Amino acid sequence: MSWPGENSLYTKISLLIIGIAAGLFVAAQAKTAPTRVTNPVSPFIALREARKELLNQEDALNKESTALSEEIRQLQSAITRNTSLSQDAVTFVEELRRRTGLEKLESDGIEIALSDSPSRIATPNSIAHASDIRDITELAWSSGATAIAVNGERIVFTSSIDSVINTVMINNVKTVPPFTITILGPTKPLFEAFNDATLLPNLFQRVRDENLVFQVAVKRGLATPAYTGSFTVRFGKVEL
Amino acid sequence: MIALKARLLVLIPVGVVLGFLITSQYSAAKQVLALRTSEDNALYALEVESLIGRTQKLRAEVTTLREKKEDLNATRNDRSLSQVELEKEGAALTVIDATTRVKGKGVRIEITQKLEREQIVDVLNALKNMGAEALAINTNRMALTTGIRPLALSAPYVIEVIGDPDILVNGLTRPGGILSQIRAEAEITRVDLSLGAALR
Repeated sequence: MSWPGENSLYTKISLLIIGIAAGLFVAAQAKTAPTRVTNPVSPFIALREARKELLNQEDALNKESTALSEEIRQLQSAITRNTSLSQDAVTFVEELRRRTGLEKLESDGIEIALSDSPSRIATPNSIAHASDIRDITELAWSSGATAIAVNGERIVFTSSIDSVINTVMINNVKTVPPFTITILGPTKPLFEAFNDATLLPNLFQRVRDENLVFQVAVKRGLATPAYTGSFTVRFGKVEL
Repeated sequence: MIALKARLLVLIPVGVVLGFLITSQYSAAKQVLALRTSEDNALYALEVESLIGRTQKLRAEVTTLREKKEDLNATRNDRSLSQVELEKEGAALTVIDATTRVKGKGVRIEITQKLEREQIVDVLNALKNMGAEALAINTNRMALTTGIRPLALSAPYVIEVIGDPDILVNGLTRPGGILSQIRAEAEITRVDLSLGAALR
């Protein structure tokens, strides 16, 4: 099982040199610090850490904003309870608060259930998007809606409904499917509008082809909660 | 010697196969890692970009709310100052409610190409995200409950927005912004605007 010269000094030294060279090569490769970012995992970890930190900051800021808005609402309510103030002005402001979404509203309306298809692998057409909610709210306003809330978040003039990766952001609050869209207003035109496939063709096609969940029901005594944020007007001035 | 040579020759194909397998495994692992990380990197990068924008907006909002709270605290026991605060709140809500004519700095966006209704909805949504305080499209002032359909809009579209002109211009013109998303060419001008009340 041996070959000629196996035990010769020359062979042993040759093998030793080759071993040392290989060891040096491996060690050099392992120890050399790269002068540029070549490892694709490093930026990934940095991004993940940045995301975590920013999510924490966002959460803390959102909590502070909600708390401040609540304190401001209480202070403003206290001011309107001040009986020495002009009651016309108080009534006017209270009406504006109601109309802009700062008060809870109750009335008949419709409730829409919108969600991802339960029966298929997720594809862009089988999941509910922020754009679907935007189209639904637009059709609702066009059909006479008086107030709208999505998963308990009141839609106000300054609300934007945006997609953020796999969540939907409304009023700086993240929400995910299933979406319950509460729409107050005249039930007949609202119900008819949301059962007319020609008014939301893309949505109805995805319901038919991809089993996207979209159900509309008339309901009595629905409620939309008050907007929990506050309005900041810095550029617009009433023109007398 | 012949048997030894034969045994050594057998090692050559074994080595070739092993070498091939090791190289394939290394290459496959590298490809899988590259695919996974580039996909995750892109997602994380998108989310981080969005988070930076959101936290900046929230910081500015929190600063304004703190100031507003201090103002209210300072005035609540003073009748005349309370009256002033009430009027300030009424004025702000009047702007938001589109009850009366409003003036202020902002931008005018002129789009000559035809847009689908959904694209108009997306543009208005993006403008609200950029802090629009008052909006009008083809001279129709938009209130909370204004729908697009009854307006029967057609090109050219002139969208007038009262809000921070810098934020509006940057948000509209940045790569990947709303105009590039809907592939619309627009002329954007910083202007002092005066918008009429919404029709109800």
